[in-house]
Amino acid sequence: MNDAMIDVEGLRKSFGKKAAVQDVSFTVPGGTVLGLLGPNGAGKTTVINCLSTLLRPDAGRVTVAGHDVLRDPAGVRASIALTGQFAAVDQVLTGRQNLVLFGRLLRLSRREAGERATELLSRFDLLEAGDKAVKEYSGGMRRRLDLAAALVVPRPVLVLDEPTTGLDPRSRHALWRVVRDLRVSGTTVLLTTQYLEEADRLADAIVVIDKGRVIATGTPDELKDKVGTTMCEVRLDDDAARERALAVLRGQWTDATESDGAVVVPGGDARTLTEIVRRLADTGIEADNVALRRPTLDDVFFALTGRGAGAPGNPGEVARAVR
Amino acid sequence: MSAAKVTAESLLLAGRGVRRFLRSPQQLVHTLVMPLILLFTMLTVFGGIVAGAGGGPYVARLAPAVVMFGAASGSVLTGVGFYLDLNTGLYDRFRTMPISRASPLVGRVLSDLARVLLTAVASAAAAHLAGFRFERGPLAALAFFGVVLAFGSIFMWIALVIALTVRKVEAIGMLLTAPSTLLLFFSSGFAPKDAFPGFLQPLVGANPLSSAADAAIGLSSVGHPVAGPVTAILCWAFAVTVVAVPLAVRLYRRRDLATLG
Amino acid sequence: MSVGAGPVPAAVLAEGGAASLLRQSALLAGRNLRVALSVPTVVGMVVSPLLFYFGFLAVFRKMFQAHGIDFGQYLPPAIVVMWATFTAVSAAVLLSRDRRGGMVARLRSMPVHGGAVVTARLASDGVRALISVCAVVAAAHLTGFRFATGPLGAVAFVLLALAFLLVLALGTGAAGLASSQPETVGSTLHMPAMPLLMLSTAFAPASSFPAWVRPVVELSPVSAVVDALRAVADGTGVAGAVLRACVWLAVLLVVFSRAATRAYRRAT
Repeated sequence: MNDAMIDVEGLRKSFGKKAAVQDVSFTVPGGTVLGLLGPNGAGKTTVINCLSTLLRPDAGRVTVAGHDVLRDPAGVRASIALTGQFAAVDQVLTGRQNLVLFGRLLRLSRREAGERATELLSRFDLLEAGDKAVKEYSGGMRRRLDLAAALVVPRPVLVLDEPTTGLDPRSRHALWRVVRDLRVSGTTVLLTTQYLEEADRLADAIVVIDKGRVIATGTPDELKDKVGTTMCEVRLDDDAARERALAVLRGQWTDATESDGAVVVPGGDARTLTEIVRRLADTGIEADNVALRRPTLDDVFFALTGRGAGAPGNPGEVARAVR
Repeated sequence: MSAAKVTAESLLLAGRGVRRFLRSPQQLVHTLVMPLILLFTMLTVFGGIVAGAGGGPYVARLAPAVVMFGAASGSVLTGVGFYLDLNTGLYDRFRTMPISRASPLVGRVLSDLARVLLTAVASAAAAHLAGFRFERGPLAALAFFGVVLAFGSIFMWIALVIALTVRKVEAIGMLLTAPSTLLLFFSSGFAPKDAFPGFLQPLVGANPLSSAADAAIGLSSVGHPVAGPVTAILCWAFAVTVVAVPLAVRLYRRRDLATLG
Repeated sequence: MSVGAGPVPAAVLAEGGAASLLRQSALLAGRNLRVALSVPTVVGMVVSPLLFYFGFLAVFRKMFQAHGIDFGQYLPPAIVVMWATFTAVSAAVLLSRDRRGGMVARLRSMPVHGGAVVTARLASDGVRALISVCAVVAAAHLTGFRFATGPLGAVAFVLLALAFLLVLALGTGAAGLASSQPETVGSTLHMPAMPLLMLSTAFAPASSFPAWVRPVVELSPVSAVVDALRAVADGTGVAGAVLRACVWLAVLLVVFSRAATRAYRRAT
């Protein structure tokens, strides 16, 4: 299936006078994973809240699985499963009780809900903890349960709002595996994240937003190509040595720059790298580390927004994101 | 470590405590606004019924009682604040700094006594609007606030012991609010002792809040006994101090050893 | 076994009408009660109102006697109304907690009937209040509280008390849904609750108030409800008092249900 499962066109949403989302458009084809990237307060959560019927868009058209969020919100809710930034499960109930509750709210019979709960608990490695109160769970377990709760009754679209924020690497990898499995089984996934590595690993396509506007779209590779292909990086911890190295290398590569404790020469290949090492050796500079490196999404982010993924947008939006 | 060093550090930390209190609307409401709402509503509702039953205007009885209740219920803030310091890492940070082990505890005691005094003065000033007067002069007024501090310290030490003992922060409120409400009702603060049913009168007489309220009534209004209730509340404060202070210090030290080991 | 298990057709998850509302409210109310009915909270629901009852009784019984009022008969409706108010405030805190924890957002994004969250909250708080009201009435019976109207009056008394709670909880619930800071909701609602309760005929007759507050006391909806509860218990002037209370409750119901609907639709 290749029809757009999520279609957002010219979405706008303001809170009072503060525009959170100014003009956002993107589509997610069925059965693919879209990564929505942006710094804190860029408007990611507002976009998600609009397409899961939690907020009314001020302008624009949003459809999910063919249902318009304004004209047919019930249809949207029947097609979408959402996990928010918090583990939205009951802390006092056990993991199993939570899953049964959500299953029954979605019209499963008592027996079906029980069976489905067992199935999901075992799938998410929570079978042993299933009868403990959720407040005794670790952060990673809670997050897994939260995702399991979203999957009690499979829906064609899954929306994940920063699913791995604050998780340890093991839990993060476990969640990534689940998302990949879902994609294989045909679920369309929209995922927001601050971790570029996460988007790189999971997403078929990426939309970068900043200050409520889309600033780039494409596959992870396309975005990296925008920043440049490979680059040669010479790491020099000594400040004076780095200055000298930069001066020497600029003699041949005028676009060499200094960044974060290293001298970077854009473009080039293995031969360029050898040449650089030789030049430096000639002038008696000993590099701490030399590498041929592809740009990461972090580089993309710096290039597109002029700051890192974790850096705040502007103060007002940060305050709302925190709330 | 020198006593001067401990004093300086404790005062610094006490300053932090007082500033936190003044900057927290919720705490101000809890210790200042709620007692005043209690005072004015009780006066309005029951002033007409009680008038004449205890001798003198109702506010002369009610204002001291409300001041005492404010000191008692404010101990929840002591307990919760200290618990949070102990369990959210702030105390661990203090321990890694070159400051005395005693300073965080002493600082907490000083700041919370200052808070008790502050709220008592503010409540008394507000009660002034309702006709409450210090009829016995400035020295007796000072003694009035001394009684508030003595009574407040009883609850404060108990709150510190509780904070050092409980596992969950919610338990602190439950363990302190119910007893202080109970003490308020079954005290001579709302009504004189002989208004109570006969079988309750010994209980009301023994209640430390009764002694504190009676002492404060005596120190503010002419025509009420002073020596008896003042002695009683000082005995209460002494008794609790003798038991609770060493206990709190021991629990505080043991916690040090436990986390270090 | 797959996680995806093949998407369910949307028609199966249609939000439906009254039947869905009832079923989903019952499920969510069950969850609320499972949370609320632990031993310490039940003890709180029973012991705390009794503490207030016996406290007020001990302090003021003799003095009311001097004014010719049997406080043992006068006080129980006041405690019932007071406890209903506290229960309504706690309902707001619990809803606000659900909002902060993301539960409200999750339920709103699910094909769940829009009224189910609030209805479930009201249903479970009704059960909580019922326990407290029965405890107070039973304890009051020991100290001389009687229904001159017999068992039927007792039932009407409990129903009226519950109606008061439900209407009030709808209003406080709107406040709870509107904020994701449960502590602030609790302290801001507690502050007006006390004067609202006290400046009524709950604890003392209007005639004993200073003249300048008497109009407030006489107009107060709390007075209307407490007077109706007393009328039902004493069997005097029942129809008029109950009618007045019902009018007040109906007006508040309209205002509060609008506020609650609005707050729910905006809760993220």
